[in-house]
Amino acid sequence: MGQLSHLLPEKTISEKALDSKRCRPAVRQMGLLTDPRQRRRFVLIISRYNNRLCALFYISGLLWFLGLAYVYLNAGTYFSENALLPGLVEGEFYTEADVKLYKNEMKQEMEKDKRLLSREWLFSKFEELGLEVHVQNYSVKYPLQLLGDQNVPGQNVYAILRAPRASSTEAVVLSAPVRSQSMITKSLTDTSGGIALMLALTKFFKKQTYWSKDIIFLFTQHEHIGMQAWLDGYHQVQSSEYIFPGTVWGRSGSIQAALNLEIPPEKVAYYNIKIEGLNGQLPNLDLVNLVVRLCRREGAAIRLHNQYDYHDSESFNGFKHSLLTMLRMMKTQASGSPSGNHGLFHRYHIEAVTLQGMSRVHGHKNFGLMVTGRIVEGIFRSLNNLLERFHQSFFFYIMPATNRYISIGLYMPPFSLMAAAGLIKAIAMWIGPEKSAQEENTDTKKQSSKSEEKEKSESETQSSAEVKKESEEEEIPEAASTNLLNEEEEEDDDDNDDDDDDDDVIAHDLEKAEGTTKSRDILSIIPVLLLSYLMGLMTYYSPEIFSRQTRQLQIQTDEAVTYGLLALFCACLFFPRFISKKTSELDTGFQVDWPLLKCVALIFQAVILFSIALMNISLAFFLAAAMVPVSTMVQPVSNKIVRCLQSLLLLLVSPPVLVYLGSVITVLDDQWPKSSFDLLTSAWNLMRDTTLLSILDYSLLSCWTYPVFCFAIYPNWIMLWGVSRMRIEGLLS
Amino acid sequence: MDTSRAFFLFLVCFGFGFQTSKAADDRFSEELFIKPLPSGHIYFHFQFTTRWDVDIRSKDEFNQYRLFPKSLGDIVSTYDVQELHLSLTQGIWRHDKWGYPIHDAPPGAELWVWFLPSVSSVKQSWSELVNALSGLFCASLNFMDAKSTVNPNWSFRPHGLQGEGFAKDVKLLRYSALPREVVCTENLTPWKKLLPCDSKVGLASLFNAMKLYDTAYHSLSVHLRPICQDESCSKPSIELTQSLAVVFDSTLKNNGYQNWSLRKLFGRSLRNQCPLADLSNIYVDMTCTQSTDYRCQLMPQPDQILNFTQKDEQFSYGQYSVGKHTKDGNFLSIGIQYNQQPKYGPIKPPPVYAHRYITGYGLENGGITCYLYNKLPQKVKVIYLESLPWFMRVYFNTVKIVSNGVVIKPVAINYVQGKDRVQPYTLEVIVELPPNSVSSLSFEFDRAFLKWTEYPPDANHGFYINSAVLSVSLPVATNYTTPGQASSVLIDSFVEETGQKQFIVRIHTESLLLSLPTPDFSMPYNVICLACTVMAIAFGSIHNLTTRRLVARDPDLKTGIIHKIKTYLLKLHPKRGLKRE
Repeated sequence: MGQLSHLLPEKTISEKALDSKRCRPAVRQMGLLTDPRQRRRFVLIISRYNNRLCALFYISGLLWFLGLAYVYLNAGTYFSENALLPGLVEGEFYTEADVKLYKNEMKQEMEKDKRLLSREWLFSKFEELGLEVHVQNYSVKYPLQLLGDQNVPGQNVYAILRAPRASSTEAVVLSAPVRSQSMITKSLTDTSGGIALMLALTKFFKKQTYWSKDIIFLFTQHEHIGMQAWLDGYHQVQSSEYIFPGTVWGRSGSIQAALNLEIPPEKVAYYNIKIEGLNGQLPNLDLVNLVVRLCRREGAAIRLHNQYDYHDSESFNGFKHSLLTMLRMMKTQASGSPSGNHGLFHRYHIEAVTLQGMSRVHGHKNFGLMVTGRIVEGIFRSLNNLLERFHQSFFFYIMPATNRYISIGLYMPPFSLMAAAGLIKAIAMWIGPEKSAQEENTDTKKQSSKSEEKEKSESETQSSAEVKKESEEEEIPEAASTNLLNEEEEEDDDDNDDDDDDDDVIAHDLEKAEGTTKSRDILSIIPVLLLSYLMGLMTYYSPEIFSRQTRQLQIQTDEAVTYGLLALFCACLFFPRFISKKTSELDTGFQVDWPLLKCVALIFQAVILFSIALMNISLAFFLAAAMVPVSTMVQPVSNKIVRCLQSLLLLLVSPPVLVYLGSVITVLDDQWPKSSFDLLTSAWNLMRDTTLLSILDYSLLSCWTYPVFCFAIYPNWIMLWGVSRMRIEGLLS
Repeated sequence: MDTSRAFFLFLVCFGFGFQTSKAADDRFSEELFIKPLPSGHIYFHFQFTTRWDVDIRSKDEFNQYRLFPKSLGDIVSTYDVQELHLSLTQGIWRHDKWGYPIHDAPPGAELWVWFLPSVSSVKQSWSELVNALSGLFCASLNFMDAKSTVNPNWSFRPHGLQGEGFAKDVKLLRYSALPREVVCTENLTPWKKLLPCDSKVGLASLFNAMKLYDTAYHSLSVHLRPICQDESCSKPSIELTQSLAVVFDSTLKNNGYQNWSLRKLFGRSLRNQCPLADLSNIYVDMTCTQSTDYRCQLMPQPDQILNFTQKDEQFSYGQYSVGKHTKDGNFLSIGIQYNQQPKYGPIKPPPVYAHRYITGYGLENGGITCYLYNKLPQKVKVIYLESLPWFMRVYFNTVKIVSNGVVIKPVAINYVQGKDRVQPYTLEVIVELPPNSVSSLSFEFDRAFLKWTEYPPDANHGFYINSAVLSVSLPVATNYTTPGQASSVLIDSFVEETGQKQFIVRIHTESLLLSLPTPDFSMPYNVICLACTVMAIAFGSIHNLTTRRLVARDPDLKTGIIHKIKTYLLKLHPKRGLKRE
């Protein structure tokens, strides 16, 4: 293309110039309200100070974002929905005998059958209480052929307490996961206390006549899968091709809210409220406030991610404390997988939280099941008052403490600042090379002729054309140095005032591309883009292949998938080799335009970050924090040491390393490992689990984290990698 | 004292009746039917029947009122009503656990009317009628406009007399329901006033609003139809049946026991019967007295026990005559004592029932599925009627009936396409249910956007969707108590039945709550703020541009603070300045 333009007769060029002249009045009209000089100044600033601006934006954004955890920069929670009337009525649940009875009965029952609390027992208990009880039989086929073609059956038991004076149009759900003793770990706590409590509460609730919404008591098996199966069955949809919900026979109306209980049978030291749902969705803040308020009313300690609210929040320690709380919440949200069974409700527009009882701390005031019972009673009486679905309060927020929140209006500006750093660099990349080229041009010009007037024409056509005076202001910002623009201006005799703003630059981009050898060449970067997407696609589909292929080799699936993906990643590190080879063959003419590639990569990155931020701010924040500084810095360098350092830095923010770093932080935060070796190995194990789980979460619950990494973050990173591996020699030639 | 007053009242009434012997004959009867339900609830059905020997077709006869309420009579004669069936209900009748009620009603309000063929315009009469009824019963029946009224083909046949001068054509039928209607004392009071004795005496004296509305189900209804005056059916007369159904859960306040008595449940006992009533009876289902382990005892003993069989189904009712029991100023409080707490277990469901729900999630589209249960070992033909608001845009091609994985072809379908803001969707399907089966009837719909003024104040609550109506003619009498078409009073139907009688049942499914895409209603405020800001900015700059005068300025002119101070000082001392010059 570039060569073609040389062959073009001058006439056509002049026609083109005329065409562009016709556009000018429109441009001028645009300038009525906006000062074109302002735009030029903007371009000037960006092209000159972009590095400093990027650093400023990124650092200020990051600090501002982290600073939001400080008590004066966020807001205290409040109730938007007045219908909730939290804590207006006295708790009446004092039937301790029932709780004890059910607890003992359940203990005996669990001793009888070690594996799992028998569904028949639950069924008969609820039937005795006179409730409508149903069993849902569902089945799961594990993805990646984890269990071959075998379908794993599961059963959910649920009972419906019909509100006496309503017509079953609305319902609220009280649920508990059924866990066997062998399943119980530090993260999967014992829930049998909650189940016994639910039975006692059922007996109590049934005697009350104030219910206006049905109450569904739900016991699910297989953690998230069971809950997903029940929700799918209730709404008669199949959202995953691996979970077959079967038929749900009994139903109530539309579910308004849900509370999931994970309460151990013994007394608890404090309660944890879990809010993060699938894909980072959060429940309405009103529901969270409600649970927090009612716990407080019963004098119970409530925490967010095991973090109590610091007594002196204004102090620096208070800030550190709430920052840690906020980061823990954000870490859980960023993973995209639900932190409890409540997280699956959110997709169906049902607000839900999990109340978890923690019993590990000793020497604290203890809260028995009766307290929990009164908290649940209070929550349900408030939910019962609801006239409309939760719609008043926030759906997008971050919590640095149980009683403080950072709304979307507060966290978006600092986040935008951070992400804008990349965008500024992208703009600079777009306009930058011309600027530098022009500076070079002007420099040479200055050397040849000492005239004070700014001369632009420097390229092929320069020799023939008369030198054209440009008005003073035009010098630096625009792409005036590009040859075609000059040709154009040479053609028109009289009209050459300030028409050279950004629009023209963009409008003439293609022509410019034709005009110079060292200009925008979109075609050259298309192979890179395609390749990066191909890599993403391969990553997306490969786990299935890896697990199938390694079945014969007797390798564990998680190992197969992790090592397979890592191998794929290593392979893609060498992709610039293929492209650079081609360029060397063709020598000139076909050259990957690295500023354009970087520009595209940065814009793509900004698009990704902003779209993720709208759904899952935490994921977007962490990605931005890690990737923006590296991606803005990346450029081809000739110095080998710098080049190695840059590659190292890029590798540090590559998706697999990010996941590994995430695992390291999780291990550091949760397990307090003894040695650094311990830390690294347990993080490695965690990473393997995480990789497999994220693929499973995607197939079973349609959690987007894995596809987002495959189709957005990974290709984006490959583009940047391409930029860093670009041969600097080729560029300079 | 009470009895003497009642007697006096009776004398007066009798005397009045005697005096105006020209007025048509009328009779009043009050009955109460009590049935303990297998779920531990107790069902009370009060029925007040007024028969008036006038011809509904001739308006001239509607001038001398005695027992028949004048307010209703006027409405009926003005709007050429042939049959009127109105129900106002709170709660939902749970067929799978409670069997069939005597008159089934959907949650909220339901009205269906057959007009006489002599009516000039059905449309106009209907709209005026619902307004008149709305005033009479203090209910928002006036919302039963064209947007929510349907004209079904098969589901509703006239219950009363048919023949010359009576409606045959379904064009004279209108059906509408308001599932959102809240029923309360304000509806009970005007309804009570239609009774000849009000609620001062007789069975109606049990109507204690505090107790009546603290129940699991509560339904008021008014049924008016023409019937035969006698066996020969030479002359027609009008039958007005007012009924009130309540379902109590007596276990709530009895420590888990099902024991109950009138005094406990209604807060008072019966003192007397309505003196105007020809018949004042109470019937109690006595099935539990015969059961072996879960025994009960009826207190006091009934006057008479009615044992009869209908289609191999044994019925046993204890009958009390209120007049006889309260003759000497005694109080009558019937009750049942049980020997143990109820054992809840699987309940044998009625032969045919349904369960309907909304499928899918999100605010774009969705579906409705209705499970139709047939527990009989034979095929049953049912008529399914769905009347849906216009904002549920139904896809007719998705209507599908599946039973055990086999698609069933419906016998007939009557589908009327809805029109936005004008007409609702009607879907009427006749389908034959296979024996011992669960069939699912399903279809899909899109949710429409409403105009922002069309949303109710609580827009995020959702929109109520009418119950579907299932009409079926059953060959068995399981769970059946409805009086036959020929009988006006309950006792007439408590007789041996051996012939090939079909038992007509009409049941209503659950009403549904549908969420529509709802705008954020704080948005108008935000929009106003935003628009004003934009306007201000645009206006400011345009105003600036258009009104600014461009003045040439001397570039040498000195500006700045120092210069200003200088000129100011010069102004202060002009002389000095001059001197210097």
